[in-house]
Formats: sequence, C-alpha cells, structure tokens
Amino acid sequence: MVGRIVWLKWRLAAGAVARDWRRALALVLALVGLLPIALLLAIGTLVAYRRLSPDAARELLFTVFFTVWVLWLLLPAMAVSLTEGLSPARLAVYPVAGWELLTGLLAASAFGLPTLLGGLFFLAALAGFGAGPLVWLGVLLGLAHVLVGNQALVTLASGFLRNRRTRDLVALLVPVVAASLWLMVRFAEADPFGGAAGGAAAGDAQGPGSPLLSLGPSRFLQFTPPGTAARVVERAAAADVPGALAWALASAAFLAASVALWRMALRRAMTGSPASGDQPGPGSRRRGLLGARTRGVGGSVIARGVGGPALALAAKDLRYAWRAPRLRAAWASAVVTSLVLVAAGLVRGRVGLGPRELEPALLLPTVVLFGTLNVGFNAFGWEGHPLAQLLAAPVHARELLLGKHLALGAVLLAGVAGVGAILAAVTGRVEESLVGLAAAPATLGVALAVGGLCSALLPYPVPDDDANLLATSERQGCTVALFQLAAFAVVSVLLVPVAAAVAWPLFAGRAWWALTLPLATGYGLAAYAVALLLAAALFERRGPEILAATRP
Amino acid sequence: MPVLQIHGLAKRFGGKAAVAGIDLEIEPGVFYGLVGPNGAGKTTTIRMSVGMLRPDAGRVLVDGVDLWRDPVRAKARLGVLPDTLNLYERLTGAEYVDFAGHMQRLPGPEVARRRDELLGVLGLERDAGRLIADYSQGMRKKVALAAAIIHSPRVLFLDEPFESVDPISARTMSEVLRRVVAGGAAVVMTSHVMALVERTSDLVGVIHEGRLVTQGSVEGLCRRHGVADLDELFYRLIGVESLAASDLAWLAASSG
Repeated sequence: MVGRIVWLKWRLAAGAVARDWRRALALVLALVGLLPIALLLAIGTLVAYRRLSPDAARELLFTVFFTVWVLWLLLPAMAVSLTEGLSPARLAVYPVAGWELLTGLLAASAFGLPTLLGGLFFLAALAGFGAGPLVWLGVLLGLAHVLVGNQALVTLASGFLRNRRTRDLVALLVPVVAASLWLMVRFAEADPFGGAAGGAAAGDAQGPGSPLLSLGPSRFLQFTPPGTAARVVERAAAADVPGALAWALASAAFLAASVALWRMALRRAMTGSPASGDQPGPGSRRRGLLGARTRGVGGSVIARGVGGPALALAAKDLRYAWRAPRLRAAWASAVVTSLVLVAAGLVRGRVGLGPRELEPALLLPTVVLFGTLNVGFNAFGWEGHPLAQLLAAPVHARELLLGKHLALGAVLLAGVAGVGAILAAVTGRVEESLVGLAAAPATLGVALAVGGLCSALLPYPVPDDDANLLATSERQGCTVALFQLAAFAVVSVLLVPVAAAVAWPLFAGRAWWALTLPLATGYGLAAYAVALLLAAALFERRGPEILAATRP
Repeated sequence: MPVLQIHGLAKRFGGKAAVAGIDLEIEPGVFYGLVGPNGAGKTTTIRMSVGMLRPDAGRVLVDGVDLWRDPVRAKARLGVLPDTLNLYERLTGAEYVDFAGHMQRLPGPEVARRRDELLGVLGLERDAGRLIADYSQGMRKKVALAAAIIHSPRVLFLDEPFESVDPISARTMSEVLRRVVAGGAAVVMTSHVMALVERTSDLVGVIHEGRLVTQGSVEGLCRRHGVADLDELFYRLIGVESLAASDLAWLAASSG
C-alpha cells in the first residue's frame, strides 16, 4: 500500500508534466534554476562548517536546520496545492490502515523537488560534521522533522488554510515574507552591526565580534524540533556520545509527538466536515436585509452614486480589490514593494533611481507603472469566470474598460499619495514628492493605454485558486512573457516625454514644472483616450475569443 | 412575432460538429424545455444564443434584434442563468444583484426596489449581506436567477437551473419563472430531469448530436410517437441499450 501511494504521487506528477509541455519546461527550468542555487548554498554551508571555529559552525548548523524547517512549514501557507492530487481525503474510501497512510504520504513527500533541495543542506551537514553514526542519526532526525512537520501542518491546517478568511490573511503573507527577505539582504549589505553579518559563510564569523556568534541562536533553537536534531549532530561531532544520545531521545520524542499530531489530524481530515469558513454558519444568518444595505450596497459612497455600467463595474472592482485574495496580494505586493523601496532608500541613503535630487519625483511614477503591470495589462483575465456575465450584459466595451481602469486608477493614485506623503516626511523633499505625485496621472494614462490594448490583444487566464496565490495558468507561457516584455518596452518609450517633463526643469529652472507637468498630464490622457477606443474596438470584435482565452 | 429566432446555428470544435444547424422560433409567453443527452449541444446552443460563443454559421434574433450585429441592444433583452454559476463570489448577494441591475442600465432607485423585492421573494433577504462565496448551491442559483431577471428580459435562458437545488428552493424558483412567462417573456430551459421539463414546459425540443430532432408540446409529441411520457419519448429518440443478463455477473458475489 505504501508503494501504491508513492506510485500515485509519481503518476499524478508525471501525468501533469506529460499533459502539458509548459509544465515540463517549468520543471526543467526549476531544476536548472533552483538546483544549482541550492547546491551552491549547501556547498557554502559545508565549507563554512569546516572552516569556521567549532562555536561558529555550531551556530550556523542550528540556523540552517531551523531555517529549512521553517521554510518547509511556511510552504503550505503560501501554496496549499503543493500536495494537491494526493489529498488524504481522496484515499478515505479505500481500506488503508492509518500507519500505511502515514508512511505512504511521508514516503511520497520525500520524492518531491522541495525535499531534494532541502535534503542538500542535510547532506552538507553530514559531510561537514563527519559522517559518524550519531551524526547520521542527527541529520536523519532533522530531515524527518522537516517532512513530518510539513505533512502534519498541511493536514492539520488544510481546512483552516482553505478557509476563505484565513486565505485573506495569508494573502498578505506572501509579499511580506518576500519583502522581509529582501530587506534582510539590504540590511546585511548595509553592515549595520559594523561587523561581517553577510560574511558568515565565507569564514569571517570566527572572530569574537561575529554577529552570528554573539547572537548565539543555538541557545534558543535547541528547544525546537530541528534544534534538537542539530544538537545531536553537534554533540556527536564533539565526541560527546551520552550527550548526543540524550538529545537524540529528546528529538525522537518531538518526532513522536509530531507523528501523533499528524495522525490525529489525518483521521479528522478524512472523516471531518469541510472548512467551516466556507459554509453558511448559524451566526451568519443574523444580519438581515437592513444589514446588507448598510454594509453592502448602501455602505459604499461610490455605489450610492453609481449610475451606469462603468461606475457599477468600478465599484465592483474596488470591492474586489480588497475582498479577492489574489487581487489583494497583488496590491499588497505593490504597496509593500513601494514601502520597501522607501525603506531601502533610508537604510542605504538613496534608492538608486535617477539623479539623487529627482528620486522622489521619479519614484512615485515608477510605483504607478509597476502597480499597473499585474492587473492593468490583463484586465479581462483577472475578471475570471464572471467575465461571461460582462459579455452577456448590454454594455459597450469602452464602458467595461473605463470601469476597470477607474477602479485601478483610484487604488493606485490613493496608494501613491500615501507613499508620497511618507516619502516627503522622511526625506524632507516635499517639492520633488509633489512633482512625483503630479506626474503620476500621466504615467497612469500611458500605462493603462498600453495595458488596455494588451488586455484585448493577448489576454490570459488567472487561476481562480484562492488557496494558491502564486498559481499561474498553464496558458501563461513564454508568449505571454515575451509579449509583456515588449509591452513594457513600449510603455517605457511612451513614458519618455513624461520623464522629460519631470527631469528637464531641474536643469532649465524649476518654474518650468508649472508648464511641463500639465502638458505631461494632457499627453497621458490623450494617449489613454486613443488607446481606449482601439482596445474597445478590439474587445467588441473578439469578445467570445477573449472569454475563451481567459477561462481559468 | 417570435421573440427568439434562431436560424441555421452551427458550431464545430476541431473536426466535430457540436451544433449542426439548429432552427428554432419561440413566441412570447412560452416556456421551452430543451432536452438531450450529455454532449448533445444544448449548452453550446445557449452560449451562442447569448453572445458568449461565436457561431460558425447562423443568426440569432432577440425580439427582432440581431445578436451578433447589434449585441448591446440584443443583450438588453436577454437574461442568462448559465450552468456553471460564474458569479462574483466576493460580492454579497445584494451587491451582486445591484451590480447586475446597473449593468442593465436600470436607474439606481429602480435597481434597489427590484433587488429588495427579488431577494425577498427568493427567500434571500436574511442572507443578502453575506458574500456569495458563503452561499449554498441553492442560494447561489437563486441569487443568479435574481440577477438574470432584474431587468425583466424578453428571453430568459436557463442552463440546468434546478441542478443541486433542494425541492423548496426549486419550487420558489419555479414560481418566479412562471411569473416571468406570465409577463410575456420566453423562457428557454435545459435540464436532464424529464419530469421537471414535462411539468414546466409548454413546448419541448429534443436535441441530439447537434441537431433538433423533434419539438412540440409534450402531449402532442407523446401522441405522435405513441409513448406515455417524455422519459419514454427521450429514450426512444436517443436510443438506449439495456444490459444483457450475463453482463457484470460477478457483481452478484460479494468481493469481501
């Protein structure tokens, strides 16, 4: 039975790859792209284990074991569908014993790309600390904690993670984690400790002033499941056999507890009810029609003033900007990226965008540009299945595009105003920040002009999967990527007059902004108006084809 | 004058004809049931008749307006309840019906009045403020129906409207649909439930392999083909093969 479950996982994965060459290509690219990186990092840790002082090597070992473990625990939160196709609930109809299921799922999970990549770090620890029997034991315990912990969390939280409200919160997790990693790198580059934070793996952490050593993460991490395994390795390497065995016992106890928890969760997942958050609950019936009016239709100032299809669509899109997890993740990414740019500018003195004195003025239009790329260049794809309703409605295409762009513009300009205020406050460059804000509508006009045409020319589906915010469509292949690159190049060229309107007065006299900025706005609006008519004509001619192309 | 006229509608997917030239005319105030086996072309016909799928050939006139030549005017006369309920899950029921009304260019106060009345009649008033994502299947069908009829369409297309709907919700929906027909609109409904089609429809069309093989009133068709009911008529026209006594004989013994 265990073999059958492993076979099932293999067949599901192979079937998915065989059915679609793009998936096969993605797998090859992942192997070519990620494997060398993981390999290099693992080799880096191996070299560090051997070259660092024993104390520093120990701290690094704890950090590596804990980091790999945490990353594997975070994976299901970001993409539940990693284990899709091998859902334990689907196996509930078969006469499979609990232990068979546990072993089978564990064995199946050991044959994935994530395990391969993570396993390299455990191999490095094995090689770095001498492959004695107790080191082997410690490394295997570490790997087991990663696999069992991941599976237990996936099973335990499957209902919770698929709960709509949880996904709403998780939508913010992806950009925040990504931004945190980026900020950590920048922080390390800035060398805030005055030491060698970024050079631990290169052998600089041997000195008493090493931040990693002075932080001493092993003191805390040894009480975590992967920490106990790291302690086994470290004690074994120090030839402390009783110590290693004692820690191995502690680690095994942690593992047993994890397995018991997993088994309990598995039993519940296979026989329990679906995620409660997606089902109507008794409490949810409390709000009557009056409540609906207050919170729903009548609660929105925009909705109250809605008179036509374009405004109705804009009002709907504004609601979706917050309520749809994928859209919220897209917006959150844009906002977090903007704030990270500002924060990086503070840490490093400047962002590195154009001449120093023009940074605020150029940064804000840049935020607008990048904000439109995701949603604005595939407006109909983001609509998903309900696009069919828009097509069935007696509405002109220009109204559809206008409605969608109104919402997008409102969200972006509000966000840019906020970023501009922060930028002005922290840099003191109020005038340049105001210039940046004034250039934002022109940038928006040009970006949406090209975005609208792209939306009608090469729409692609956006997967309707709230459980996996990073999911991309099978049809979102190389053609789309190349097309978007070309579109970005076109936008960049079209934005040259706007950039000139911002930059030129710096040399010719700042008073010129009073003329160049209104001219730039007019240019942006004109570009938008022309493109809107063209894109609307395209949509009206290709409506059913766009619907077919965007069906998730 | 027929409120819906379909002439020579055809569509091929690859080499296979999904719809092979359908002609259909429906008068106002008629409830028309379209039945056929899976893959017969019912949904493709509806999708082409409402502007979601471009036909390879043929014309669709809604209240005299050519759907593919003047789509905006034609769609203002159409209502659609598709089989896959592609609703805006992140809107509340009230917001969704409101949105549909505005997309049909109804004035704001009228949208609000009709929305409240529809949600009340369909028994959704207490759940009007909840997101559609939290609705049960029956509630989703009802809110989709409300959105499809808020502009009092001249032709209403319903693709499997009662699938997964509990009997109470089905009854409410049927009553609303009868009111739509009584108001002079034509309703075109597909369904696999023959008893339901027989009970609700004034006229029935049987579609098979992309062609309309017969149509007429249930009584007339049964009389013409010498069968007792629509079920039997369907089997006779489509053809079903019964299992031989020797097939699957091993099922008689327990595998345990």
